[in-house]
This record gives sequence, C-alpha cells and structure tokens, in this order.
Amino acid sequence: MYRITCKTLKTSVLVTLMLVLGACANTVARDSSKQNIVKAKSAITEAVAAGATNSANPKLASARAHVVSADKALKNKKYDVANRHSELAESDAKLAAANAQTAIVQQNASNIESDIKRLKSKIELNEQTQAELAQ
Amino acid sequence: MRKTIMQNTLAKNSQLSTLKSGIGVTLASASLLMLAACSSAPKQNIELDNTQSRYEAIQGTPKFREVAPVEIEEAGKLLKKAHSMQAAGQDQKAVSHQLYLVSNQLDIVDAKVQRKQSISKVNEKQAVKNRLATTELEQQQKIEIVKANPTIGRQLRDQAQQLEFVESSRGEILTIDTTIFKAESTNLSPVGLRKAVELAAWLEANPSESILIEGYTSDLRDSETSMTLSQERAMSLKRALITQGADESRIGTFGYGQDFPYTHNESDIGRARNERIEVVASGAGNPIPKSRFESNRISSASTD
Repeated sequence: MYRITCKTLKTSVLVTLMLVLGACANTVARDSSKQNIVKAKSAITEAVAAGATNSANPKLASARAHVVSADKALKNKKYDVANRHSELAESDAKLAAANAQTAIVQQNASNIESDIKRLKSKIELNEQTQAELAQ
Repeated sequence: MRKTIMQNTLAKNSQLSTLKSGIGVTLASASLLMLAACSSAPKQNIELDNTQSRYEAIQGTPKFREVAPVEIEEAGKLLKKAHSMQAAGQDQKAVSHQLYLVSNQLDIVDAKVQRKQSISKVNEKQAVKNRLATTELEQQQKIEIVKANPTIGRQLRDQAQQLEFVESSRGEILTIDTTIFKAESTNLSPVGLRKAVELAAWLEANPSESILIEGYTSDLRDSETSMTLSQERAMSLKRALITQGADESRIGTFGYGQDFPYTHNESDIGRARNERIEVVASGAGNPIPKSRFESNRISSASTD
C-alpha cells in the first residue's frame, strides 16, 4: 500500500513538474511574442512621427496589418506566427519611416525649385517694368 | 579482299547503331535522374540570388557605403541568415520571409542615399534662391523709388540719354548700374541694349576717343564668381558695342570683382551701387585707358 502510494506520488510529482515546466516555457514564449509586438508598434509610432501616412506609405499600412495579425495570433497562442508578423511589421515600419523622411527632403528640394522659377519670372517682369519706366 | 572490307563496314555499321541506341537509353535515364534530382532539391533559390546581386551592387558602390554604412551592414547580416537558412534546407516560405526583411533593409539604404542627394541639392539651390531674392528686392526698391518720384525717374532718363561722363582723377568716367544686365546674367537687359546703342553712338560721335569698360560687383557672391561675372559683363557690353558698329580696337575691358567698391557693402542699396560698370574715356587721341592696377604701377607717385 505504502509502496504504491509512493510510486503514485512520484509520478504525480513528475507530472506536475512537467506541467509547470511546460507552462513556464509557454509563458516565456508568450512574453517574448508580446515584446516583439511592442517593438513593432513602437516602430510604427516612430514612422508616424517621421511623417509617414497610410496613403503615402503603403509600407506603413502593411506594418499595421501585420500588427493586427500578430495580435490575433498571440490570442490564439500561435507564438511563431505572431513573431513572424511582428518581424515583418517592424521591418515595414522602419522602411516607411525612412521613405517618409526622404520624401520630406525631396519635397523641400522641389519647393525651392519652384521658388526659384517664380523669382526668375518676377525678375524678368521687373526688368520690363524698369525698361518701361526708363522710357 | 573486297568481301572482307564489306564485312568490316557492315560490322562497323551495326556497332554504330548499337552505340546510337545505347546513347538514347543513357540520355533518357539521365533526364529522368535530373527530373528526380530537381524534385528532391539541393535547390537554387532565384529570389535569394537576386537579393544577393542587389546587395552586392549596393555594397560595391562607394557612394552608398559612405552614406549608409550601418544600414548596409545590417542588410548583410540579414542576408547571411537567409543563406544559412537556405543551406540548412529550411522551408522556402521561411527563406522568403527572411529575404523580404533583406529587401526592406536595402530599400532603407536606397532611401537614405536619395535623401542625402536631395539634401545637397537643397543646400545648393537655397544659395541660388537667396541670390535671386536679393536681386528681386533690389529691383522692387528701385522701381518704388522711380514710381514714387517721377522727377527722379525723368532725371535718370535724361542722364542716360545724355551719357554724362563725370570728370575724375582717372579721366572722364561714365558709371552705369547693372540693370543693363539680366539678373545674375552676363546678357544685356532691354535697358542695357538701349544703353549699348547710345554708347555706340557716342563712340561714333567722338572718333578720337577710346574706352575701357570696367566691371565691378558687390560682395554678394564669392570672390571667384564675382571676378568672373565682372569680367564677363564688361566683355558682354563690348560685344554689344561691336554689334552696334563700334570699332573693336578702341574698346578695352577689365573686371575687378569685389575690389574698388563705390560705397560700403552693408545695405542692399550700398551693394546695388557697387554692382556697376564704369566706362573710362581716354581723352581725344589717347590709347585705351589702363586698368586701375596698371595705371597705379606706371604712375605710382600719383594719388588716385
């Protein structure tokens, strides 16, 4: 009787240990997935701060879609899937930020060019006015 | 003898046909083997190859390496991982996922390089824009002055028509403001063309006079640009005079750049007065006047 109890006890302790370990591993996987999603979300925030918008930067829209998918996968405890989406989201968001920054500088350049055009035609007009006044 | 040769030929022919069918079988089995090899795959990944070539092209361009070294290194790491995933025979979807990350990273490199180019363009164009804005402002001020006081306008006009040379220690000098040129250009403006006609007429009326056309600028541009602009403006006016029939041998040109300003360079009006052409008349029968530098050297005792 005693022997059997001991054996049962051993087995149950083992099973419990395994369950606890398993749960631990699960928690670790979940936490790291959560962290990855947080990283992706902050990359999106940074892209928006750099001036990215869904309409001008398709990569930002793509990043947002991947974050939604990652959140969904996390809920369903599909941590691998969640990690893949987070990774793609972060990468897309970083590219969106880089593109947005470049677009701003390019816009500046083209603004200056149209300013120059405007000034040149203004100067030409002034020259005509001066010529008329001198007559 | 002949028979043996015939037999030999026959034998050779049959050998040949055996050889041919043998080759056929070998080819067929080889292609089967190749098909089998393809399906089981230590395979080629075209996407991986393409990404690799794109990476190499970017990595091999000094300009890119200079602008985005960190980003290129990151792309290299991601690509290395893709290669080891491929070598380990991992799922093609996983490799493709990794390659997507590489491709994004290379796009980031591109974006950064383009940004850098645009920044230098902005800096360069900003200087041009500032110069044009100053010119435009000066023109506006001049126009306002003439509009506000028509008498001044008339005086300016009369002066222009009479071409009043002013007596100075260097001889008789006619000072012309740079409205005779188009802004930031060596080409004559409509005002300038009229001035050229008048000056050519004056040369015709005074056939024993020679002139030195001198260009001066303010300190708006760097000294080298100023020097070139002043020289070329003087030459441009000379060419216009020749076109109007003036004798080339009676006209000299000289550009001083920012040297010998008429007044200070501290206000727009001051700078506008410094940007000018001076026409020095030789006096009847004299050769083309020397430039300020040469005349100083020759008669260094004289106080100019």
